[in-house]
Amino acid sequence: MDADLVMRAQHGDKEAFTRLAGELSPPFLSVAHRILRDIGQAEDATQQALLNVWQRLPQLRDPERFEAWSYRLLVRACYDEARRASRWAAPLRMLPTGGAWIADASGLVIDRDQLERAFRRLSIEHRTVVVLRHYQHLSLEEVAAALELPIGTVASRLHYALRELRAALEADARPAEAQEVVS
Amino acid sequence: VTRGHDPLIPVVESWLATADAPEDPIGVLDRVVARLGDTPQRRFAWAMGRQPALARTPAMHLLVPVAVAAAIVVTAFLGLRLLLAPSVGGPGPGPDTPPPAIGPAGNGLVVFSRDGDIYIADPATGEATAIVSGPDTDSLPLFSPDGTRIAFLRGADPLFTDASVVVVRADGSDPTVVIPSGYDAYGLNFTWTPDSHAILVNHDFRGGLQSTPVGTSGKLSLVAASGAGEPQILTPPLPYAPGGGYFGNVQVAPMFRPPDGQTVVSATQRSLFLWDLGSQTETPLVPIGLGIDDPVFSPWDLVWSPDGSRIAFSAGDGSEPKWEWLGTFLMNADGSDARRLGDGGSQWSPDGTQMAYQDCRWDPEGDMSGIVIVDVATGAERTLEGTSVFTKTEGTGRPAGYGEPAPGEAVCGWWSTDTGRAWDYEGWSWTPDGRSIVFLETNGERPRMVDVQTGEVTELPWIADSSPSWQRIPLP
Repeated sequence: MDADLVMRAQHGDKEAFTRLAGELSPPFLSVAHRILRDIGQAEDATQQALLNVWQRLPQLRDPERFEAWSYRLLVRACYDEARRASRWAAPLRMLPTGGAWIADASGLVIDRDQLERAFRRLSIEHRTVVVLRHYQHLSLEEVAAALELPIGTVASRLHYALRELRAALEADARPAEAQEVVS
Repeated sequence: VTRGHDPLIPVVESWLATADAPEDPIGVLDRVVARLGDTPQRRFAWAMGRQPALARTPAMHLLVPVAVAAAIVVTAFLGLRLLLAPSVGGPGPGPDTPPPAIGPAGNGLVVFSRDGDIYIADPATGEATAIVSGPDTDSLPLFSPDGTRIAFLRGADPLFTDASVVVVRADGSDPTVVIPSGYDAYGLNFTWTPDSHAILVNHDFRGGLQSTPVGTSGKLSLVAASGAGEPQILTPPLPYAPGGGYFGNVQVAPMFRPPDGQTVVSATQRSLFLWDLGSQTETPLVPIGLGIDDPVFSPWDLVWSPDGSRIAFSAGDGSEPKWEWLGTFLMNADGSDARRLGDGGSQWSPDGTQMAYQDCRWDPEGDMSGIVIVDVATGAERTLEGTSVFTKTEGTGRPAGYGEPAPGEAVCGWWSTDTGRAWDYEGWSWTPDGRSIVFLETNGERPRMVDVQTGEVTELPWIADSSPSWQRIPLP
């Protein structure tokens, strides 16, 4: 990220911030969408995160740390969005829409569907570390900086997230296997 | 956790790398840029700015749906008087002498949640201190009426699907889990008893109830704030029981008659009744002269006055196809002297002379919510313009039976059947001294307080994600 652009935005230059936000918004939206698994929530979280970046930029002391700092704001916005969505949507929660996917005979499509179901079962913290590490390809140190967590905690979350993901995939596969045996 | 050692990792990476939904960063960017002018940068870590009251806009009083009315956070014992607040010497265990049991009280410290931690702040100095922090997600703290302890919701995850209720002393010490984990916070509502000895919940949590769906019945249970002893189920399932389908502490306390809280006022769909906690008996309550036996009369929002002498309740016409707001009514504790108060009223002022309610107004630039003050003696209403917030309702669906909005009809406060979300306030309440209303806008960061008499609005200096709860202290 252009440090000069960051510093100009820090001093209230809206044009500079607009360019910054233009660079940030695609990856922010992609990351938020992968964490939240809902495009509407992802757009709200991205919008709020970008506004928070603008508001708090003057408080950022080291422009070199802008990227990790901005992802921290995005993750917080995702957490807030998930909490608000849970507050209002819990009794209206719908089952994953898997029917159309299952009709496709492709193994890849079925895998994606299973992965989607399994991933949704992870906690939002676990989803976050998986996305930052395996989608954004941040190092453990960078994930730790973005989440304000010790590296050990990040590694631990990642370990348990993948373990839970694997367990969920296995659990998801069991009924189908059982059905095949019966038939 | 080394990449390459786990065969699942490349599968996950491949899956994550594939876009699986249309994404519109340009649309998001446009909305952000459009809001920059209204979003000042923060150049100071601590600032107490004053905001001008929003201009009055053409208002249209509309019904507030019952379920959203239930979502208004009501805490009878909260408060703030920031500008005149006496310093109480920083965060401490509580006032040396107890505040008045009922009625107006002085303003002490402030408790709120932020990023999953609980903070306490001194309004006189602005100093805020985290008193509860850790990996759990803690939220919605609520001071006990005597100002000595704080109850809050704890989630093992940020979604609060595995929630508990914890009580700490006012300095964060001595944490006690009073309602065990394992409950979805959606529908888990809690508050303090008027005597500060126990926590009331609308859950039969011993029965494993996970959630109370909107508009259905719920039992009220009592658990000692010390965590000792067995929970006590106080009531049978109460139709229109408090907190149906809401998250956190809502209007449970106003149903308990002050000062001892031994009598609960509740309602069926067609009638009101009193429930005596000691004898476990029910007594019908007939508002004399209001036609309460009308088959379409549907009472809601039952609140005792602070001195326990009167009951206010709201009601609607429940006939099909569309539920329609009738207004707020007032009567003595025995049903006598019943009269219509006005268009709304869900929170009594501490001295019992005024009520407040959340209004919904149509505005060509966007529907708005605002707090309205009602003079109990005359029924005169005035909107606190400084509380006005633009609202947003997501989705297109509406609760069954409510129909589609008419042209010019406001939709704030309505929630969607497809996303179930609406934006207006995280919460709002009277200050203990009755001079102000404090509120936090949904998605807002800093709570605001508005002087009930002058309408002057003050932004509070703390970033919070719950509406603040003020400690009641003795009157100055």
